[in-house]
Amino acid sequence: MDKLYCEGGGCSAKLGPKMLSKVMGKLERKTSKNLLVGYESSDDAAVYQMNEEQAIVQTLDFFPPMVEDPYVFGQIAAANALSDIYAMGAKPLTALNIVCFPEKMDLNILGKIMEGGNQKVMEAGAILVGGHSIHDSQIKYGLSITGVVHPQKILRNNMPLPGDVLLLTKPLGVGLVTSAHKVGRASKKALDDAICSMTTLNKYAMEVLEKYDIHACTDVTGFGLLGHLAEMCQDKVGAMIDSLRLPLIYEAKTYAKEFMLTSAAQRNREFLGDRVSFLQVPFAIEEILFDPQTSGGLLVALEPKEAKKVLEEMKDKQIDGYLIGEIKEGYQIQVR
Amino acid sequence: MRYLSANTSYKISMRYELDARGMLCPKPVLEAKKIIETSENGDVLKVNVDNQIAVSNLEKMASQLNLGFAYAQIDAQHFEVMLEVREKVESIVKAVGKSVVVISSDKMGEEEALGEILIKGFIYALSEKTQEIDKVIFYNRGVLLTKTSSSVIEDLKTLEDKGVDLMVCGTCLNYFGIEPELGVGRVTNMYDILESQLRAERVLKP
Repeated sequence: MDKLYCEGGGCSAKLGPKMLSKVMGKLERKTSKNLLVGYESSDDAAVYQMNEEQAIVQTLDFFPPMVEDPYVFGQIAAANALSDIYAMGAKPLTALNIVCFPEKMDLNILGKIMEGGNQKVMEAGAILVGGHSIHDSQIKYGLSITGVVHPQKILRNNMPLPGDVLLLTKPLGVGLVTSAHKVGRASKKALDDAICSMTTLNKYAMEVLEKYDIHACTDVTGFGLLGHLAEMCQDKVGAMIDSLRLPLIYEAKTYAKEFMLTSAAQRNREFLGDRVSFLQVPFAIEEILFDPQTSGGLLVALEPKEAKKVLEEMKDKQIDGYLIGEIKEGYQIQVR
Repeated sequence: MRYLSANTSYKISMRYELDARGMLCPKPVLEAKKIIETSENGDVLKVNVDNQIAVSNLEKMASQLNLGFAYAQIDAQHFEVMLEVREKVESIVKAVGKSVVVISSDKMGEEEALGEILIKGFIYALSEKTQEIDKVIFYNRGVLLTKTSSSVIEDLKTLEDKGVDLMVCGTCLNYFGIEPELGVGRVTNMYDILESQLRAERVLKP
């Protein structure tokens, strides 16, 4: 079987949030009244209004491999790129490949990666229209996706209300599993669970959610659950996470206790600093909450009554959904 | 390597060095851990890494494994971390407190109407013995007793005023949707609930 070499792949390859905000802070910014969502609100994608009914959504995501199977890697990269579109409440239309590939490597491998990516794009109902490839010493793959959304129906990151409950649609711990896998210590079951999570499109969860009144939504990726939760809360609200209710990949706890930690998790932890407090929560759970997720689930803030209806429908359709906490007044994010 | 002579068992501490520069996470910590696992009390490991994050991850491991920890920055891409293996701390939690009472239901025993009367009586009896009670833990339906509208709220307030720690499970309050109606005590979690029972001289159930 063609195998990829995974060094530091997936969303743990992302530049840390502190680093990014430093650089982004220095860029001269122009704006436009048509720019509905840009990078000042830390959103997953850019949204630009075209007319009364339509706004285009634009996203970009790519990274080095975190699994050895090139086809699976392609699927994961595509699911990850598409995730941003769904988090916005948009429909994906077209996709462009971004490829970095070593000159001397077997092109079959690249073929398999792109097949995997294409499969997910097709599953999402979008079209792969082309892309750009360059030579590089390390393999990287991803996509830029264009989607469309009604301007009045954009699920922005930044309007959760105190009293909202928090719903998460995929288990946490993917980063720890791929980190363990990198050093040959992940069990087959853990890796299968992680791959299953990473290759599941957020499309299905979103098809349920968009029928209800959602206050805020984001996808959980490189900044970990707490990082993306903090982004969602901005400096306007705080939150409480009940660690007992978190969906986790079981073995991720073991890998955390054995220190198979990513550097991204530490960067995520440092960025949030004092904003997060833990009430006697075990070390492994802390680490999982900072663990960068690749192609993670949707994190949604909505009223408890709506959440009940959403969960019922999700259960009917066999889509995972877990209530993990609440939005609170104030600024602190407390994990208990 | 330990030196033994005829009239003394003299131990020399080992000093190890690991160059983890150029290694990507989680390798620096895992390689250090491998060495630590075969080390003994007093042994010291110097780990060379090339970034601050690796230093922080080593510090986390030191904290979890109770190792001595220190570090210095040598230059932009070089940090030296010192880890010292210390006496393995006996992690048996010693009982320090008095009694801890665990209340898992809003009634005492199976029969409903009778059970309500009994739990009221039990809590009243508790309120007369506050000097012997350290903590009262409420979980599952037990949290319903801590609502402001509960029929035992006065006795619970007496307990609280006399210095008894009333611990109410947050997950449970959330489940019943009654967190805003909490009338007494503090919201806690499973880890605190376990810890309190481990440290208790005696755990009582009604």
